Amino acid sequence: MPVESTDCELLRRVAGGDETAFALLLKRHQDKIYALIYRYVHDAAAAEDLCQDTFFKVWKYARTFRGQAAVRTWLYRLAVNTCLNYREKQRIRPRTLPLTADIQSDGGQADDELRAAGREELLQQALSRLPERQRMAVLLASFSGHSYEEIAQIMDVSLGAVESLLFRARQNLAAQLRRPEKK
Amino acid sequence: MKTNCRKMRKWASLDLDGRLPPPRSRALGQHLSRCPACRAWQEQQEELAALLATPVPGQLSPLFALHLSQRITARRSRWSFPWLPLPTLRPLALRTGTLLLFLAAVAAGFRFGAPPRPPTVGNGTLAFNRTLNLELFADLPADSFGAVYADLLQGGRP
Repeated sequence: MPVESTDCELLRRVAGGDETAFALLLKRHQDKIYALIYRYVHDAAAAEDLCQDTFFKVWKYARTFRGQAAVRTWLYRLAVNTCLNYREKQRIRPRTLPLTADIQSDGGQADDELRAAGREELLQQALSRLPERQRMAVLLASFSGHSYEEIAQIMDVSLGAVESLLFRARQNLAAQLRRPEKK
Repeated sequence: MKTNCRKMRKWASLDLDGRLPPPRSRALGQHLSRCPACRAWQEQQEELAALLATPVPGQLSPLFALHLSQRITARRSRWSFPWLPLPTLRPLALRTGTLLLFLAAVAAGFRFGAPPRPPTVGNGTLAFNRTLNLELFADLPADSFGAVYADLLQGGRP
């Protein structure tokens, strides 16, 4: 039974133009990268385009990988930079979505699916109102399950900055989701 | 919000990610047992974290890999050098090629370029010489500067 290649081996082969290795690396990471990007942009088409951009960069810059960080960290760094550049270009304004109270007031008669959809929508609304770097930090920590050290490497900031970004992101999220309860 | 509550919420954020040292974790627990607002904040964060961890509703289209492959092929056909076996050698080959091209252009310039011309008399000097009328100095005394200069111009010696 063949031993499964590590990400690092695969990336080295990708740098040599090995398409099979690239396909394996893609298969291994595409869903998680896509999910992170989707959470970030909340738009399926844009998320797919950005995911494609990310893996295109993987192919293009594979030979520049020096092995100072894990391949996974490097991949996420490419994805994060692609997302941040996209936001910088688009300057997308957060959409105005219904308040929690509206959804909760309907929730008495709504079924579980609708309630779940409402919660998902609320979460996206709250996320979209966060500053870009706070949003990315909280997604990397809570959604992708990265450690603080990995987030620091991915976002090119210090550990203290990661702690601060996460705390402020959580404060902001809590403030946004608490607001309707004051009505 | 009290300063202590702010600090405790910061600790709660670290605790959520498993980054809070045990002594602080105990202090946080004590604070949460006394402070309902911070306890509510922490519970809300736990709910949010659970919600954030849920899978996203969408997924990549089946054509994703195909489109990516087409994009890579399109780029490769434009910029690749298939006769070079190692991609790491390609930038080096590109730089060497550019340098050789530059050197060839310099050599061609020396070989086929026009020879350097000797300095020529400009139009202004010619006009000056044409309009120089030495007769103007004829009435000057023989030892004047003008007469000496005119004599010099005509090839005489002072």
